[in-house]
Amino acid sequence: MGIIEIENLKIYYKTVKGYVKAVENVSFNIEKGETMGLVGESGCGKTTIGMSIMRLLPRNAKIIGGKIIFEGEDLIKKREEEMEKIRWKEISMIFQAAMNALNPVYKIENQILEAIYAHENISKKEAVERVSRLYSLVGIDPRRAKEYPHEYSGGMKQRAVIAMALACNPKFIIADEPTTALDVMVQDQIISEIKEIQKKLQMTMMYISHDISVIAETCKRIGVMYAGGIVEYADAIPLFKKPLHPYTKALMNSFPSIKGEKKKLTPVPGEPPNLLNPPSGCRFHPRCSKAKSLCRKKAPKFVEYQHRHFVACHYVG
Amino acid sequence: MKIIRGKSKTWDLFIKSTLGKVGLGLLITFAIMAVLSPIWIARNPQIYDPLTGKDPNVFGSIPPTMAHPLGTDQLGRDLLSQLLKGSQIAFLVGISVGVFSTSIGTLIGLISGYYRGKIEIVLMRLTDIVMTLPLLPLLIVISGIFGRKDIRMIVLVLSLAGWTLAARVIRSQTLTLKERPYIESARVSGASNMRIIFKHIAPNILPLTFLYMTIGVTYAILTEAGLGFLGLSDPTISSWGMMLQWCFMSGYTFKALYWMIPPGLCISALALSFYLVGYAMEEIVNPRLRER
Amino acid sequence: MKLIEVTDLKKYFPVRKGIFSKSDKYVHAVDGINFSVEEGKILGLAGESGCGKTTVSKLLVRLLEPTNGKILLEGEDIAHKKGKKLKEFRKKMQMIFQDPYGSLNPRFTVMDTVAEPLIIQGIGTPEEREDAVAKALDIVGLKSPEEFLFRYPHELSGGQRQRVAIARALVIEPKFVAADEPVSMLDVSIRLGVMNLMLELRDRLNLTIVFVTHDLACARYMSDEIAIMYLGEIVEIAPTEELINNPKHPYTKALLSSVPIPDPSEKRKRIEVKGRVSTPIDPPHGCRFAPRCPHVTAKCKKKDPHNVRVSDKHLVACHSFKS
Repeated sequence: MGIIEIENLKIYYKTVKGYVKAVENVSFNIEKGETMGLVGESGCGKTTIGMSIMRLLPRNAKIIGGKIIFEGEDLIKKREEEMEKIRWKEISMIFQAAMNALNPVYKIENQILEAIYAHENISKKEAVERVSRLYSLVGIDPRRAKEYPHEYSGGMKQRAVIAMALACNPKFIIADEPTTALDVMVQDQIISEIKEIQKKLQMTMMYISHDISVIAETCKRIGVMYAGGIVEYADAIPLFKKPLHPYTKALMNSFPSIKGEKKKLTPVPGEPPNLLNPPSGCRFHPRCSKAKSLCRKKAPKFVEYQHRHFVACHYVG
Repeated sequence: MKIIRGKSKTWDLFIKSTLGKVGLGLLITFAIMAVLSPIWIARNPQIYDPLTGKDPNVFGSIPPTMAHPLGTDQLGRDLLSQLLKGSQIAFLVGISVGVFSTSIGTLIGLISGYYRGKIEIVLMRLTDIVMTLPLLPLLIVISGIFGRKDIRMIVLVLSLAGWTLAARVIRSQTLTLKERPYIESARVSGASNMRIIFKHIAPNILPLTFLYMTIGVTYAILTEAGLGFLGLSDPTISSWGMMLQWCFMSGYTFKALYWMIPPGLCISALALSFYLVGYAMEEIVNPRLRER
Repeated sequence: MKLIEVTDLKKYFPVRKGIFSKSDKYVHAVDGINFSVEEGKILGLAGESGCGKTTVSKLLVRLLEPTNGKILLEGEDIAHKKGKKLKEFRKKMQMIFQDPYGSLNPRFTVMDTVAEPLIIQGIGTPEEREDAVAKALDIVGLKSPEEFLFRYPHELSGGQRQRVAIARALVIEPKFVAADEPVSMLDVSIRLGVMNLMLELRDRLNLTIVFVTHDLACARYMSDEIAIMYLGEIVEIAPTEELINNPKHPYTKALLSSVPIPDPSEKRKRIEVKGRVSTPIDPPHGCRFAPRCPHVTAKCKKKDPHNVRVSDKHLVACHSFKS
């Protein structure tokens, strides 16, 4: 049984022009201690899924159906007061561009302390000690905790944000594009630190990114998202060795690499659909080279094609 | 997708905006009043001229009657014809001050924001000085110097004093706009400074200019009314401010609400209508605020 | 033939203190770089943020005037040209910007945007210009241009905008294009399309391109040669495959080792580098990378390294390398 199980999750955004069908029938589970990666292009719904687990969706978003089961309990049914106890303490999140969310007028230590005090009743001494432990864990000199955000470099801010996410020993962490705005070398350091911390603390993680290389390096299990749905979900190595869904194949072929032979890559034709009015049947069919008339009519089921390898395509293999 | 020719949509969008509709409705009402003014007076200038007319059958201020729908003032002059004339004057003062002051402000803002350096320092210090000038004492002094109060002089002074806010805001907007990549893109192609200022930056400033023009118009209408009430406006015209002053000076302030209320209401409503129109215009002239 | 050749190019920016006080400190954004690009070739200029790569691209198209050095375009120095003479040269060079949302004037239709370089340069009649615009849009893959001509930028997708920006750059048939991170803000599937388009245009129009990027994988995909920049200097320059497979400079090695690889079964060897990039405000003598370099010696901190020839086209600026 997984620590988190998502069943047929369906989330729509209400806008002036109608409903944006952002997440449609998404199901997956994450085992304890596993790192799961969610990869897809912008607007495919990956951040929406992360926010829905935290129950921090914007007001105009509506969970139309499905379940988010965390340790046996459905989070969708929880009241806001109950969620407040779970958030940060049980499930925490490293937000997209979170380093810009540090408040410039407070010392970073105080910002982390605030997060701790909000959820735990511990003495100041204990809390300060914990902050310095967290700082060593994420690789910053604990003495620098008393500085202000502007005294930190981008990479250090991101580390501080990770420390903040870890502050209450959560069981499950969602990391939404934690390295996107950073330079390659800093990104690399942070990724390797996240991996180390994950190993050390045996944490369960969900890692959200548009960059398939970052996901390949960090995650044991990968879900590929397209236009609001997960099209393929499998262990990383088999997924990369033998992707089953045409979109996964196309996505992998869209990234140039510095390893291996230099070859000409062919992009997926067209552009991602507008989810106000998504294509009928399989949402990928207008861009799929293998699409047949069935794809236009009927949405494919998300089935376990091989052991631990799920795929949503009418014509697998 | 259809080809959409942007500009033809403007009117549709304006009409969709509720605030815009209300503002425009009010504005049209006042415009009609301004147009009706000469017609109403022409029926019998001897009685209905707002300044020199006098109804021989009336003594002192009277409440509304059939002949005088809004009543008369203490000299027996028709209040409706003063009110109608006043709307003409409000438009004249408001729009000319709005156009003059915003043009000055936009130009100064654009130039100081675009060229920076010494030009900017000089122009911005000038702005600071003008901004801190005390308007009321200034007007008293100027009318003292010229020995008479002339509406054209008031328009001039209000224009020369009222451009500073627009200049500041447009300067800072220019500062951010000129760093946009499309400006650099134009420069790479060899565009001159003039082309960049007037073809690339100015149109993007337009919504702000509109906004400050409406603010300028309201400021002028309100200030002229205030000056009128204080007796500092041109006594040879019947502006709404002057109507209030006559009412006050003749001691009718609370005795004759039929005299007090119409000009007060008109001042507020006209100011409001310009604000509303400006607000709606901003949404329209800025294509990014438009719906896709 | 060398289409563009840069020698000892420098750009210093004064550090602003206040409105009236002039500063005596300078940011050495670009500090004496040399390179040349053959006609029809693509040079990838790669480095981390703050290394000066964008400043170089702006100097090349003369958005900025260099503090020192030469920029030869077809043999003529444009480094300090002004006014009419510079405008004449602007027909030969163009730039593509990073942000497809900012590089198009929101109040210009596609037609206005693409035709602008022609209007500024006074080329053609209105009808001829319209034909040229339609042709340029067709070249960049916006088929049926009449559908796009009168649209505003906000009515286009990110990929379409970048294509319009490219069409604008190409409409006056330039010889040289500086592309500043043209794909970094685009989505994955669109990014590849734009890169392929640029490669195809290079082949078709014999364009010379300087492709500025922070993404080494993209640099490899696009370029014939790659130059690696660090704090305003080029530390290594070599033909693409040579640089990727046989890097010599410690910084290049570290940078290459930190690029994630889209293959979970492959483990890469990371080279950890201490510290972080400093700011190039009046930098001291010696190698700029010395404070962070794992192989640093006493000499590195005293003397500026000179370019050493590894092979015919491979240059590296490092004391520890002996040819």
